[in-house]
Amino acid sequence: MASGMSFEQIQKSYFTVFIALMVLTALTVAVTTIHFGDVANIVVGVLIAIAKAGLVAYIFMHLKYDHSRLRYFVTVPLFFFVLLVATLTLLGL
Amino acid sequence: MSTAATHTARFNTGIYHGKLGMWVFLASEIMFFSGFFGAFIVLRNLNLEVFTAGAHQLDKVVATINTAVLITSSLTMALSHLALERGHEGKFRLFLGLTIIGAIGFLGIKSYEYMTKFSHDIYPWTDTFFATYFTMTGFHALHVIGGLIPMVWMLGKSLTRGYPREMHHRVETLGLYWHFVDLVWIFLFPTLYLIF
Repeated sequence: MASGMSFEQIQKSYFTVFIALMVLTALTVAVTTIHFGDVANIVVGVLIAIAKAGLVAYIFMHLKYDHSRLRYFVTVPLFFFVLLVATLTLLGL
Repeated sequence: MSTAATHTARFNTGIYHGKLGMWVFLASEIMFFSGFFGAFIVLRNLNLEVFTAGAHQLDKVVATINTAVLITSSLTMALSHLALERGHEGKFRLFLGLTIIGAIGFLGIKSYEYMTKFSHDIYPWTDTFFATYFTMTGFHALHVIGGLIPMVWMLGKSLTRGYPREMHHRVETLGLYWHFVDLVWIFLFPTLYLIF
């Protein structure tokens, strides 16, 4: 991974991501007590989950530092996942 | 060295075979869990009352604690790889040990949740919601066990014969899998516990 970064720098970035993940977890639980509307609450929950997933994939799973072509392994199946979820959600409306 | 094929990075991408193989597997894993989420959406739309009633019986507090446990274990996994990559085997053992404790802790809390449900006569065959709940969390728990086994093996090897710094790639590859298991839970948690 990022060989140009020092041990302390990488350690710091991991702890920053960890704190962000914990804050987002607290946030996603906190927003369930507020009712924006049935659909809006689901959208908020999904958006927070996507933000958390991005942090994990980008920093913990080193996608930020690895060759960018490796990201196809995420984007291609993710495209079909989003297609499936979107289609089934729209069919259910 | 016999492990050269897995540990030597390709000159043009910097990616070694082990990492590439793990990402191919994780791509298939995304599709595997996509099926569950697809089934969840269809069944929920067809049985909204059953799903709402079922989800309200789940313990949000315990699930939030378990989310925190799994995220913490992801941090320690990343730190254990970093430590070995930079040649600190002692720290590598410490953080890998903490990751193992996190994995066991997650399974312990999950078992407590299952036992509480069983004691209230709630089983996978109770209704469509709990069939979906037990299938999704059950397969996730199997993935946690699947990560725990090589972690224990690695720690055992490090304590008995030592874990050479040159093999830090194996720890990174296992880490990729472990972070993916964390990722799946990040989506399962709001889907099952929070959106109703």
